[in-house]
Amino acid sequence: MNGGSTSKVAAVVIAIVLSALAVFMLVTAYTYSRSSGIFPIFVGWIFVALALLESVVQLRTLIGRGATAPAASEEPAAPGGEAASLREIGGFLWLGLFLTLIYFAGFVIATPIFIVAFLRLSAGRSFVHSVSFALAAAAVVYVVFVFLLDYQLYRGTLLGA
Amino acid sequence: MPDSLFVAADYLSQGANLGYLVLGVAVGIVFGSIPGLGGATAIALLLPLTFGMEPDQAVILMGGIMGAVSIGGSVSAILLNTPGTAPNAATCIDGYPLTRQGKAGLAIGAAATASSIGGIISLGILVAVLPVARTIVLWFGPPAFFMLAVLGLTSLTVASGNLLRGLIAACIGLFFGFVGYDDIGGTARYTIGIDFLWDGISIVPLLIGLFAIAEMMNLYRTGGPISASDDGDTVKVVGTMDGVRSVFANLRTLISGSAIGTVIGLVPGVGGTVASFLSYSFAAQTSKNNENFGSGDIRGVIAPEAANNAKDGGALIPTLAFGIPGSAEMAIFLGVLILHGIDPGPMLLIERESTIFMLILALLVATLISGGVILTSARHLARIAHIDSMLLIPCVITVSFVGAYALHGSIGDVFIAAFFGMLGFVMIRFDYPRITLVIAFVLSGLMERNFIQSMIMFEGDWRRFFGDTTTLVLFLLTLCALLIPIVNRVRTRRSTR
Repeated sequence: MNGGSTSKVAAVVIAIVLSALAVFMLVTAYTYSRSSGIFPIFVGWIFVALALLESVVQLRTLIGRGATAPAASEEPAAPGGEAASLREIGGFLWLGLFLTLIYFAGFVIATPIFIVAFLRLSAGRSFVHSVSFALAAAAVVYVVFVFLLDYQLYRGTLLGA
Repeated sequence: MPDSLFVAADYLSQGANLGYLVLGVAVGIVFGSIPGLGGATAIALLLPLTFGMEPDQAVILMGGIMGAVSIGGSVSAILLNTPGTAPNAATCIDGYPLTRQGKAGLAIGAAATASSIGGIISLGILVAVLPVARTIVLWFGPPAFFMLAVLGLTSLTVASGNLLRGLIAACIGLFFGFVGYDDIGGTARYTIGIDFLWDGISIVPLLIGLFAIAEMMNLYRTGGPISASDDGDTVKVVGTMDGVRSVFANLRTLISGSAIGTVIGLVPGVGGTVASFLSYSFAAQTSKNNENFGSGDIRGVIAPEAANNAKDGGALIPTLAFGIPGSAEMAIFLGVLILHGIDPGPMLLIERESTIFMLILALLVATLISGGVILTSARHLARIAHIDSMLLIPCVITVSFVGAYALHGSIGDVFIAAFFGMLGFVMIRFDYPRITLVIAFVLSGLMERNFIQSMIMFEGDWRRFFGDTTTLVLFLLTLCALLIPIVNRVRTRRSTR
């Protein structure tokens, strides 16, 4: 499957997910009291109609009957095909990894680990460069937020947050 | 009014406050110079720094960023043919050819001067219009306010270029705005069993996610240096004073560009890109000896830059007077005001006039300082665009998460920021405009409140919405905004057959 058709399938999946979200929003709105539900119901019906229309447009594009609906943004230029998809997935994984690290170990420990890992594995920087850059970045964050702005940084569940 | 102006000037001139302004200008210039970042990301990232500030100090910091960002964006447009922000794209058309002809200094001098003067003219118009706006705003009852918000969202969606997806993004924004405990009905809505969501989704992690984190995920996808051009290293930036003089020699282009920018800025959603291209094409079509437009005419730099910075003054009118933001930057700025307990809308004009003048003065001074900085250090600024995105990404993501956490000291806000970062990235990839989501989110409370008040006033009969002339006019304008792109598309299809 080439990059173009993958994008078209993804656009259909997104449209269907949005339709499900719209239906959830509408159905849930009917369970609320009159004053709490009146405006969500009003918006919900519009959302359902638009999401279903988008699903139809994307399905027609997928099966080759619609010509105008863009599936995915082509700008800015990205690495092609499988490499692009891998980088997109990689972006989600890096974010998930950093979030997990923060949750368990807190900002002070998670920040340098994340930056070193990112620079080593994704940017191909040397170990020394990665470590020194990570320590500098972590120090700046600590000085600005803790010393200057007097914020408490999250310490992570492992350290008793 | 003069009293408020003096109070604002006195406050702004105090040491720490002036420092915040200079910080805002520095951040604005740097973020403006780096293609792909821009003002929205800068404001979202610096928002957490304002939590401990007085509201007026936060306004000054944000005014510094907004006043400087578009001027910063012109440097990379002229030297590297890579616009720092989207509205600077029109500057590339004649700015980059001037650089190739060895006249980069001329172009930068003209851009910085035109941008500064354009900003000053639009702020002058804003000051003149404010008393009138205050009177107009008082005509608006709940039905008219609701319809105005609908019109703002619709015109924004139409301007986004993808009507269907823009409207869907607006519905998603309204949906996220409903999350939390509803004071009116006493119901917790869409909290999906998570206690943390009872307070609703905070605007800070939402903005940080949608703009800062999503942009970094997109940069990660594209990879490499942000600008591939090497021209910034080799080009000589001399003769900037000739550029300054060229603006005064082309006053007609300057004034028409500033006027176009201010008027376009007034319309929610149309924004700086449309303003700068419209100003450019107006100058190209109406100027004498226009054969050099596109290949290095200085008027092709003056017109879009004047319009680009002038749009901010226009955009502030609906933002401050009605609480209806016209652009991503204004939506985030509105978030800053709300965060600091300043409620935008009619009462702001009456109760906090000095805050408005503080913002106007901050924008004015920021425009002048950033113009001076660009004139003296343009070549060095161009190097910023060569920064390796792989170094930028982990730093911005770290600051984003720390900033999201700092608001309430809650790890939940970090997860919210990550969620909106991923959502924002998917929206970038699949052409769902993020700006309509943000503005719908910001407007959801205002829209719902006015909708319910209207329904109570009309005893549940929605047809009475159209009994009020102001509401009816706004409804017809909304219909026009929706129908124009559809009619245009049908016409285009017919003409191609």
